[in-house]
Amino acid sequence: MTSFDALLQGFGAALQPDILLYGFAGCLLGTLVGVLPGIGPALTIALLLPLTFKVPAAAMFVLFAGIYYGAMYGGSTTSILLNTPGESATLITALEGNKMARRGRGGQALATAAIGSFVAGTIGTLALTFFAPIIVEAALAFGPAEYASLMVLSLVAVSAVLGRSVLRGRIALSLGLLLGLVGIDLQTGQPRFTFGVAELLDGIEVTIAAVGLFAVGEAMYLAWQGRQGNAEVMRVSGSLKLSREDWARSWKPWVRGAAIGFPIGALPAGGAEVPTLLSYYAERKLSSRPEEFGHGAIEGVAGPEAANNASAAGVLMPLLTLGIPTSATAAVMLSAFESYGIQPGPMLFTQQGSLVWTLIASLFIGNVILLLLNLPLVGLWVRLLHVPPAWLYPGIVIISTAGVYGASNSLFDVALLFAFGLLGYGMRRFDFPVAPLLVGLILGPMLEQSMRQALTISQGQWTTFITRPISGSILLLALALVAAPMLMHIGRLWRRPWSASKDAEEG
Amino acid sequence: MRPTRLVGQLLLVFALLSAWQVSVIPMPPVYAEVGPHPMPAALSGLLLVLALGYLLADARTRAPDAAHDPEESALPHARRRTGWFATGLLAFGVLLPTAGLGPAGTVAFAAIARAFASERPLSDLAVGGAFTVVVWYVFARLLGVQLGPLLRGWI
Repeated sequence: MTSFDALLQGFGAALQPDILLYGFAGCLLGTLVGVLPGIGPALTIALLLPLTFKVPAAAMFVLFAGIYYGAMYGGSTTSILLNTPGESATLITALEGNKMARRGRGGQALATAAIGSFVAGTIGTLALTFFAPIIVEAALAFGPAEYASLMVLSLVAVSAVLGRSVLRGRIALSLGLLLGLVGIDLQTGQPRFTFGVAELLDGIEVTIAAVGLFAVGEAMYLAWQGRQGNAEVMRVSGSLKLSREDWARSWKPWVRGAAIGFPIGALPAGGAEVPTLLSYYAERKLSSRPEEFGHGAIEGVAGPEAANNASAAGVLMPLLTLGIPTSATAAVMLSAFESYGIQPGPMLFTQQGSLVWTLIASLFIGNVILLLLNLPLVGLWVRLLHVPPAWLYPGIVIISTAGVYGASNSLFDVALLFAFGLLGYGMRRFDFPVAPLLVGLILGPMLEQSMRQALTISQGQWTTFITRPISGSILLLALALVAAPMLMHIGRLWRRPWSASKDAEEG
Repeated sequence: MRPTRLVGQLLLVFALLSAWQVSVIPMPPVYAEVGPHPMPAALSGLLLVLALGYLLADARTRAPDAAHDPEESALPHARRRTGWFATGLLAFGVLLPTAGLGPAGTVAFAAIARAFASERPLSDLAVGGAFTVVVWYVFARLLGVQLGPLLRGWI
């Protein structure tokens, strides 16, 4: 059946009243947790996972969709009203949004963020609906060699794009890959890196790592820093209505943001920072009022917010169609799906198509619910931001630990959680990006497995990765990504004599 | 010693530890083209090279450390705060199996609140206690997630 029919069936499954109730709950919870400073979408999903244990499968998807998009929306509320943004993608929103709030236009900033998120989320989900079957078709021609190369590309891109230093990104990645290999090697049955500890035989759960690094680690870092308690929460004075001029100035950035956000989000390691930054610069260049930027230009909120949400939909594309996570959030979601016995990838669309289309339908529905829910509830979110940090962060740590303990009843897991917390503190302090570690953690074993399968098929020939055309071109791209920063550096050194003489001429 | 140098050395130690662990992986009884060794061995080697790279970069131009950043550096008494934080975590780990979630959560809450420079230990304990009860109720009673007893021997 065509994907449109499948989507309609998905809507049919998702639009049941009891399932919609779960959708409301998901949006509410997602926004609630997303609003809390220091909690980004990856952590939100990891924390709310225990909630989904008792929920039936179709409802779980709607819950997830609500949490996912809700967390994004909550994060932007925080960055507009509070000067410390909830997560790095909303850093840009904080730039203009907070300035708008200072000028008494906080309501408008929130409104443009909410509507922009809705518009972009819808466009992004539409794009997902349209492109996913195409990608799945192409992916069915992928063999293990292609998958392995794609994963290598993803890993290379993750460590190169995220974070300020490629070296530190690669260190984080290597750590993640090594940690991912902890446990019994499934193909040969040999234990690796287990130090004789029985609990390590099953490996290290991505959720424990994510919660440890993001929740406990961030809390420890902030405690060390001691700068909490100085943040100022802006008041939302006045209405949330957008004037005609606001609408006119916002709608194009919304669409442009969505157009920038979705494709970049869909690329391996696109992440959400790059599209929001690009959108910001694009809006600044295209604006008829560039002087307003830096002082509260509404385009500077509309565009990046749209880009943020569209990239959230974009990230779902490689995750659902290929089973490859391209961000920390996607890594956590992949592990969540797997724990339900759902293996994302092209097979998912062919064998469990109804489930996937229910998820996609839920994304549309979640978007609508969020729009309806969040603008009226702004007052509630603002009140949340007033929770004193001395109570907020202990609360986060307690919930995190309870969640991890509840999942396995293992004190060892709790100790592991705290160990990751310590690691998270160190990574935060010494500027090591966390996302490569998480992506490496989940992709490591997958990469090894694909590699092995490819070698089995090629009967031991390692050249198969290069001689197969698709695989070879993907690897070439990965090589280019690895070499690019070095080449750019050399290029800069090469050009210096020229620019020096130019400077001398211009005096 | 500079903290960043310590970080580099820790990475080095980790890489060597990982290499040692690779060497103790038993040989599989079945033949496999790619056994359990190649990937972890390659990764240990990679981490070794990267760790050396980090140490080198740190020696030349200081690797970033938030402690030196004017905006991100720690305010005074950082050690005390991290100490309280660690105490909180430890208390949780120790009290959970012995006394139940209630005491564990309450004490940990108050200790971590102290780490955030809270000056009201009694109200922290009270809030912590209430919070832990709510969390236990929602998780254990409403959602059926096994969290153990709230107060060992009683609930």
